[in-house]
Amino acid sequence: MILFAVGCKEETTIDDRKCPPTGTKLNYDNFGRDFMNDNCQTCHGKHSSDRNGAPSSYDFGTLEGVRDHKDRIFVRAAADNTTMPPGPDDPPEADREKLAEWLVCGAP
Amino acid sequence: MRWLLVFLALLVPTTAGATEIQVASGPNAQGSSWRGDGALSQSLKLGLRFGDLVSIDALTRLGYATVDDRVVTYISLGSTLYGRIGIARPYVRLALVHQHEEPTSAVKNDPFGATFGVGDGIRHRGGFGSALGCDFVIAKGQRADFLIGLDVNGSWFPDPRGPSFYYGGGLWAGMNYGL
Repeated sequence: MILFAVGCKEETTIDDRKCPPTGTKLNYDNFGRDFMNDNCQTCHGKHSSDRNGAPSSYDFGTLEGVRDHKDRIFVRAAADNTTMPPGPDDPPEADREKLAEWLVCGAP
Repeated sequence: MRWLLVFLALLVPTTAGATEIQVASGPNAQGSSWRGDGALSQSLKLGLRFGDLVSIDALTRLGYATVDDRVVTYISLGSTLYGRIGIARPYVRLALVHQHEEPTSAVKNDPFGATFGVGDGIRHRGGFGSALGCDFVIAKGQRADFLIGLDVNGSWFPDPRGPSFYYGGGLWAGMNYGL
């Protein structure tokens, strides 16, 4: 009962956002690679020494790996979704907004 | 020293009771070693008490924690040592703990897997739990004692994939049924 009372925050999905009409200036080289390296690759890297239980299929070391899971990455880490990376030390809100824009524009 | 002995004598149950089945439930609130984290859960305890003194028991909690918007499932198997001061039954409990933590979005994404602890995004951790509490017998039936209680409790997880410590307190209502 407690769970249903307080635990039902609606997440923002990739379908809730639109790519700007002029497109995005963000791409893998100037944003995506660094964001994923700084926040995700400790557990989601192909050569991570300790994945901390992250499923092996969730590998974000390449652009293709990110594109394959961009819907789930969005729901967990972009915009106002904050459940990844785990713990109270989160990336800045501005970076999450950039991640949202980059993903919703197709992760160029 | 004499006062300590008197105090300990008061704590020891005065009559050796039969084996009892214990059932209790109640809300629990905790903080954790993660900054700004708070958790609310519902507890359920099932136990078997021997000689009115010691029980083996299973305690589970299902709840919600604020950081990472996560569901926390606490499963423990432990032992509780009881004393008696009138209607009060102070106790200390030690337990082995297995805990699942998963964001609510992971539960929504895979409710079946989450229910059985095998879905993506679930962190499984083992640790140790403890509690200090007191039950108060508020009514006696022919074979059953009805009680309310409260405790302070905590748990420690060596695995760093989540908060290392949880600490808090809970309220209980339940019954002990003599076999």
